[in-house]
Amino acid sequence: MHELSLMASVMDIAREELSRHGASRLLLLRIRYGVLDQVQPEAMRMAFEAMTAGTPHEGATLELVEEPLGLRCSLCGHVFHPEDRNALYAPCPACGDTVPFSITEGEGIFLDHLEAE
Amino acid sequence: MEIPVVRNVLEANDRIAARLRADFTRRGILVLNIISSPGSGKTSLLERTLNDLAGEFRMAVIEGDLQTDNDARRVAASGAQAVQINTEGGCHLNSSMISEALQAINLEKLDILFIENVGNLVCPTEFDCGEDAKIALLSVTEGDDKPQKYPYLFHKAKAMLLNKTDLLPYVDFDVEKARAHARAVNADLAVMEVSCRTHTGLDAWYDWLRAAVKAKKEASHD
Repeated sequence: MHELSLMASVMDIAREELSRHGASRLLLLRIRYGVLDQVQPEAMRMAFEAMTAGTPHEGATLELVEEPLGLRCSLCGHVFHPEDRNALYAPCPACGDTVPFSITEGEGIFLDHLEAE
Repeated sequence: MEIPVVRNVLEANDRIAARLRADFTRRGILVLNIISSPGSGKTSLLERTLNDLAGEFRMAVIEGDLQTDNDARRVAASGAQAVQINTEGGCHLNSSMISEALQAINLEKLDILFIENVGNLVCPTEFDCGEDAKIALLSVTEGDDKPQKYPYLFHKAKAMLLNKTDLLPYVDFDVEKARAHARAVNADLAVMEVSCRTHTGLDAWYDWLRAAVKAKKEASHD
């Protein structure tokens, strides 16, 4: 349940951005996270509702976007974005080699869009 | 109004972690964040390490625990400094908890600081505590698919210790499978097989520690 801590940090950042831009009510907030971060969307929504209930931000929209893995073959350099995480353990779809991929995308948690009034 | 923003959600935690890391580096202290499931043997590994290397290194432990101070008492029996952080149900340690706990530790003349995180393979992985390396500890009584289920920890760790290898004859744990799945997300991962109970394989871990301490001391003189 690190989602509670994550959402608390999101709300800290959102409140800071709102006050910097002279806004007082959050309308929409978008969080982008990598598939490797193992963020549970339901837990994020529950935390968001709990933290906004009874505040001016109650009822704001929470958008959660999961970013897929990006893998690069260490041998042939082929870059791809598999939907299935198990591609990590499969041969490279381009050259068939089985050396480990380097992970180019799919980690990190960012607040990347806010709408407010 | 639209507010254009791209901000790392963990930026506040990372900021404190960076400050801690700079201080640890200046002092030449190696800091290791030990992450595992509950019951994998984090405390046993620390007990062994603290006792076996007591004459070689000056060590301290920050113990993260949900409730009790049992682990801190076990570790303190070795004579090392031990500080307990009680997370009251929280599933991970973060950098501000470490910063707080450091007030109770004498950082002068310290070689290694171990952080024993809360038993959990997901949450602790996200929160930088200023460490040099995360150590993933796995035991053969867990499934050999742990690296596959929780790839992020094995991606971010610098070493994986496989504990309780004395029980291998009695469990269906495929060591090669676990090793291959861990290395698939981290080609440079050091893997060591140990049994804290029978004292097997720990020399490789101690050699790893010696090399890491040496590298950290050299970095602090740069």
